[in-house]
Amino acid sequence: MIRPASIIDIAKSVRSGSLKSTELTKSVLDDISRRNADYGCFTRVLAEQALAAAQAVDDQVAAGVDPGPLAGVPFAVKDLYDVAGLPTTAGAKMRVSSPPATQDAVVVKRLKDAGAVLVGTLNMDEFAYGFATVNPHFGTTRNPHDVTRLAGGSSGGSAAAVAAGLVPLTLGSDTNGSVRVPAALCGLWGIRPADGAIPVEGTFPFAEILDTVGPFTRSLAELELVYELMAGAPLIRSKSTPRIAKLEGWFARNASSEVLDALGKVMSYLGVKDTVELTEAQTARSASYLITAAQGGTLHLETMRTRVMEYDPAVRDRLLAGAILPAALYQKAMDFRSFYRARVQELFEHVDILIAPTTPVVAPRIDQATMLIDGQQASARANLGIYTQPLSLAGIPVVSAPFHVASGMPIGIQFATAPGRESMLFQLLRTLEADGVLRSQTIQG
Amino acid sequence: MSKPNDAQRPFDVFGLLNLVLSSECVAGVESNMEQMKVHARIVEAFDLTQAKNKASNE
Repeated sequence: MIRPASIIDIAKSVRSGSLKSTELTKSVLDDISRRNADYGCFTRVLAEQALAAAQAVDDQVAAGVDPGPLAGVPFAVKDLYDVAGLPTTAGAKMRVSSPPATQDAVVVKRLKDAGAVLVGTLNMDEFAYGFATVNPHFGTTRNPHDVTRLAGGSSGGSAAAVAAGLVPLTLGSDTNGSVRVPAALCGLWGIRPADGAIPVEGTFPFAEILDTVGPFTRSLAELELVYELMAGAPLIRSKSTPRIAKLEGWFARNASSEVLDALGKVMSYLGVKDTVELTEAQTARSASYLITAAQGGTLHLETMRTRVMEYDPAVRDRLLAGAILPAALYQKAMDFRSFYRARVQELFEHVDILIAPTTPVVAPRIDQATMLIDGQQASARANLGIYTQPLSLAGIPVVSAPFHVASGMPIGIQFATAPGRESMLFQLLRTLEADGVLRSQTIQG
Repeated sequence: MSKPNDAQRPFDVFGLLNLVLSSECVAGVESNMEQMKVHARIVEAFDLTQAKNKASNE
């Protein structure tokens, strides 16, 4: 069957009765069974559960009951969201046989309550500690635009599943950039919400002070709709004209020419020449790195006491290094965080929207170990988050938007704003999408 | 000095060091510590008091 392209069209068709949720779900499940092996997105396909949920949606429509704004929309979640009846693996083999979750994560329940149909769980870096989605237990997720390249991480399965056209909606989590990096590398819309804007309850933690959850979609209208449903409240509409500036300094350093060119075209389109330098950005990135390592190491210490050799060796050694970080250093990073958040808040007294690249380069090849950072070869995977980490530490909402690339690999641009100004941000992005400056890149099977 | 099988034994807080130094983990942890040292130096070099004073004078 030819499936409607967008979440909004699916829900409209299902609500009107012109499309059966069960037929759509069967088609999606067939597609996943045929094509998932090409990309390695799904860790579990919940066929029986999905078909039962779809039947319930169809029954509601037949009975004249509105299933909700996501009626019949197939969706899937990163494998760190609790799904009632299933163990939450967090991408770890050692958790495959852990006790099943007794209830859905808050946002999973909210999407189901809106009529969405959960079809599966998605691949990730083990315990979300990575930007690659190279997982020794569940495999490597491949970028649908070029399967020799990374999909990004740690929510790589979530991004690749939407980019491959397997499902129109997925959820990921973003601690240091784990929604924004894969959204950029796979050509999608993704959002890291402001701290506390969307509940994280029922997700497996990583570094709790930085953890957020967010969706991946193919269009801004879909992103906005799902964001509001996840947040549990509509955005307060704004009619103000935003003050916009490009982030300079750290956010221009190390970017490839194609990324800088894309950013330049966005700024030209907007007619904005104002720039802002967040002089503490490099320190913010480092503080974020250390806080993540220390909190991750502490979180896993108890498990590592007895099961350390069951971890992905790369993740294990990162967690061990984090567990032995000096407390004084962690405290200094936390003190810096408090100062830095106040500085960023001050910045938003003069500007509403800050624009920067999401990643310094397009998706690296899976076998590419290094890239050039400050004139030296450095880990390609670890440095995919150099522009996302400083914004994570600020706790502000950031959308990674897909720059319209006529050919070649996708490029993502970050649009950040102050908490409470999300509506203004979406308004600006609507214009850029409508005029074709921003546009997702997906493939169809 | 730790032995290769240290990593397979349950450990207490102090035993964490044995684990870190075990043959299975030491190379990987050392590599990660090198990365963390780079970030630690950047954070250590940031003069928070001076930055706060500068910010309050702006």
